[in-house]
Amino acid sequence: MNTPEVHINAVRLAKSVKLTEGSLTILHDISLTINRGETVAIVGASGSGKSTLLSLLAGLDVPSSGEVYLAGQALHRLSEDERAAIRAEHVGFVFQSFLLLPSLTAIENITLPAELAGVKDARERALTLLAQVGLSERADFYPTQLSGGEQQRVAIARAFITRPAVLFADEPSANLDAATGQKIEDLLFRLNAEQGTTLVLVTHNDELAKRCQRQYRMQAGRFIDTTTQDLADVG
Amino acid sequence: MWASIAWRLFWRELRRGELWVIAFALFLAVGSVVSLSGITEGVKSALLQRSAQFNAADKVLRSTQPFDEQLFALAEQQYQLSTARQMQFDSMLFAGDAMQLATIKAVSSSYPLRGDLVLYRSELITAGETAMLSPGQVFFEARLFDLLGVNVGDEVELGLAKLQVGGVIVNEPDAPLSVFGGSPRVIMHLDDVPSTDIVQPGSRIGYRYLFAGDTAALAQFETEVNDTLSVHQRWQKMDRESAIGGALERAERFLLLAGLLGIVLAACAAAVAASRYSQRHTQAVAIIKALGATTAQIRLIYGSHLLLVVLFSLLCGLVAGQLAIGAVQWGINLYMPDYRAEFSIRPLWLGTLTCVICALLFAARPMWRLSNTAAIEVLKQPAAQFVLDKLQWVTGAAAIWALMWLFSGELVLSIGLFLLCAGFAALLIATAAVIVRLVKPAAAGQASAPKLAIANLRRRLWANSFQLITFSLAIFLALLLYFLRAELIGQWQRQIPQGAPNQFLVNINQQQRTVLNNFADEQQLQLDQYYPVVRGRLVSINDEQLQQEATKEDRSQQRVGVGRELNLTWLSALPKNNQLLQGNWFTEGATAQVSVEEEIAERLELKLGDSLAFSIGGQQVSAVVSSIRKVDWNSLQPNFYMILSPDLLADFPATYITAFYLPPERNQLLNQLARMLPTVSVISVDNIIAQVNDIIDQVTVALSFILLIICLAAALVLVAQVQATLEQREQELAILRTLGARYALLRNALLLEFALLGAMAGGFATILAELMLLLVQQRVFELPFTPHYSLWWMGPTLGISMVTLLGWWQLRRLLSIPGAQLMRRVLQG
Repeated sequence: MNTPEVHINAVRLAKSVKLTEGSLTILHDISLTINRGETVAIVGASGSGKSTLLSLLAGLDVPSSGEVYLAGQALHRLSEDERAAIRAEHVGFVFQSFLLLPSLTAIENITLPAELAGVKDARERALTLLAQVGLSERADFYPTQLSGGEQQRVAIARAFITRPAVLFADEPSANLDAATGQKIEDLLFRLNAEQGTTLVLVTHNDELAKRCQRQYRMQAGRFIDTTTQDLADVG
Repeated sequence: MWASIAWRLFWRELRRGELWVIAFALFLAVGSVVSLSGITEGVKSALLQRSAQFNAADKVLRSTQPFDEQLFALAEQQYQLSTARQMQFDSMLFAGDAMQLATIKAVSSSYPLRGDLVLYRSELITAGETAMLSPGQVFFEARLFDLLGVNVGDEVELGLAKLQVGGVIVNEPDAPLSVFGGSPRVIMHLDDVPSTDIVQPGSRIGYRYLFAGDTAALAQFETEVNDTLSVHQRWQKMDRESAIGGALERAERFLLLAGLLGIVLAACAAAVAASRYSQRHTQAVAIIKALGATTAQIRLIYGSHLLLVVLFSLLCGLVAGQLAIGAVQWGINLYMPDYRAEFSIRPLWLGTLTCVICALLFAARPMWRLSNTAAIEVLKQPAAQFVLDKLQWVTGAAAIWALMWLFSGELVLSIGLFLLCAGFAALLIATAAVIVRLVKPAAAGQASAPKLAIANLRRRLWANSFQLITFSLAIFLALLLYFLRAELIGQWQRQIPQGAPNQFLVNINQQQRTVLNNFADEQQLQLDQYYPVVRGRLVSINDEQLQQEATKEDRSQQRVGVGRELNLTWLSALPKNNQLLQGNWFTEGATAQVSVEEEIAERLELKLGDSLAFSIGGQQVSAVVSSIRKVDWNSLQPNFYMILSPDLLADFPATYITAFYLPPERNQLLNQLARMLPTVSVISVDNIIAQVNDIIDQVTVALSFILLIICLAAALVLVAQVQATLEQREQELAILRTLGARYALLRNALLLEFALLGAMAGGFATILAELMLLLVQQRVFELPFTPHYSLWWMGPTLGISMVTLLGWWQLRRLLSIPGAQLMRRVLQG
């Protein structure tokens, strides 16, 4: 990871949605470049378009115009299923509302992406990750039997099981109390550092954003400011 | 890899219970199709077997040409059928100086194949030892003993043969059901026929081939034989002119259609449950897709769930249906000890096909839509409101129609019924929308519970419309079945009203009328009117001579006649179960006119104004066709093909027919009557009445079963629907509870919401049921319309109680959850 290498590249991205009253542009002319192993925060208030940008960068959605590349693949030219294959291979997610499957246990939720990607030792990896997030005792608990913090720890373990090159985290601590949120953030950054993953973090929390190497600030679908942290500040 | 994920998810989903609603709905659909079609087939086969007893065989081939041995060989060897032979002809019987024209039936030893031939070594049908028919003997109808002045053991001459009188015929299974007995009947052994030398070229002899055996083998045999039949041979219709045929046909169609609508309801429940399942899993699919699953993998995962559910429901449905059939067959066996239950594959494939149609058109579409969920949905708030997708309405409607067609087997009927249902649905939605809109201002100033209830109804108008349609349909069906059952049974009973004549007296001469009238007065019997009868042969139409027997060669050149003597009557008034189709009934002083029955008019190609000539006792009588009548052959009344104007026949010596009702406990009077008027035949129709009563009993049982299925299906629709709105209700309740709404308020609002929905469904159902009953009364039963007052309270009461109870049963748990817990459930999603 010593040589900075472009991992995510967005060129003049725009996204508009059709409404009954006409069309609404959510993103305007967004360009950014994220290098391999870099941690980047996209900061903004609710409705600023940061989650939409995350969905485009992660290949969950396609832009109305512009280009987006992930791991050298032109996501904007790929079909839903081709993008799914890229996600399975390169991407991990942590969502604000955890989004665990309620009918699967903690360990089953963690192994799910690995099974979809055809990873052989999914269960062993999951057990290791469960230990790393401190939930070995809760492997067979269902999401409804876990607290919010525990659910998010399971979600983080799930995000790392395929050893993704990029991790997208959407407000990972927003649904949690301050203390638990802090623990989750620490866990996220620790695992990210251990695995050398590129991290794209979407948040409205400036403190959290400051833990990333770079911050893009958004307002009304545009970048208004870009800050690069001193490495010393990051941690 | 997908298989292990699919399997794991499947078991968890089973535990969560959602798949069970789909499974139960499909199970109900399959189970009802299998059991209904199986039970109808069972009842039908029982009735056919019963009617076979009245024909002495399962199938009868009639011919005017001598027996074709090849046919018997084919039936016996290739199709393993039992066979019997029968010849019938009219001939003079001589006993000393006395002679009498009789109808002789010569039968082979294997006769009858169905039913029982009961012969007594006696002159009376009430007592005597049982006798067997053997060559050299003849058995007489009771009145023949007096007519010929003979006793058991005496010798009579028939043609060149001398035969010994063996005794009296007590029961002849295939004796004519018609009340016209004609000449006295004689049974003899077929082996004696050659010695009589009666069979000569040109003799008028009826040959009957009797067959019995396995239904499928009989059907195949019939198909094979059909190609080789000559103009002299035709299959005897088994039920013609009997009350049973019509009743059976009506019952079968009624059962199938009623059952079908129950199945449609079950299918709707499956559709709603599948839609809800799909909607609830949208976010799960989005998550799995975001984690890298392709659409194909999702299809495999959720498609396998549907497949497992379908297979499970299909299997259970087939087994349960077959068990129900078994139970009904066992029940029929109690009624009819000699009933032969037959296994039929048809209900099973019909059930399977229904399951496939329901699964593909009702449940597969939501699953397909689910698999197309975009990964981006993962970032969106899942919709709490349950919405049926538009294409689902189209595929659902197509499935309903396909089921209707499959089940009724009639294209026009299925299209008509489908359009009726669609129109009904559209009308309901429109009316419901108007009512809910109108109710709003009225509720504005009222207490909060009604306001909340109406607000809920308004908000879920679209989803409620579906609920309203299915519930109205279910209640409508329940009401219709209940009232129609009463109507149907009533109609059958009217056909054979309590105290309707069950004993017919035939062959009464003018002098005997006085004796009979005195006897009736003494015994306080109510005699029906006297119908005069003169036997005559139709000889020409518009001066064109009729050929009396069709032969292949000259068929095209000459008109074919009736082929037998007809019973002619003259009446000044149209009989009450006759309906004029064309022309006018005889006016006062009308001369030389004839009124012809519709079917025979069609067969002889008769039209108004045609001139018919009859040969009666050697004299020719001409009459012009002045009307064509429809005759209700189901009525147990004397019916006539030809009714002449009174002027024509008044001078001919006539015999008379009359009838009276005799309670079974006074049957001894028949013997007294037979001794007093030995030449008069008494024909009892008690067995026909008993048979019709049997049908009514069996249909009543089947109807109750269908009612149960329909109620279950309707309940399932409501369960599926309420479950579909569960998330939204949970959210609303959580908010209301948080805002301080009290338990009593929420409970009352909920009860009121369902009560209003039930009242609307019940109201619509009542109106529709009354309209349908009006139609049925006027068109089918041809009765004047009488309003069903009890319907007007039963419908809404049924609607309110059913919907409220079911809704409450479903949601009471939700209400009892403490507010904080409810809120946490909602937030956790």
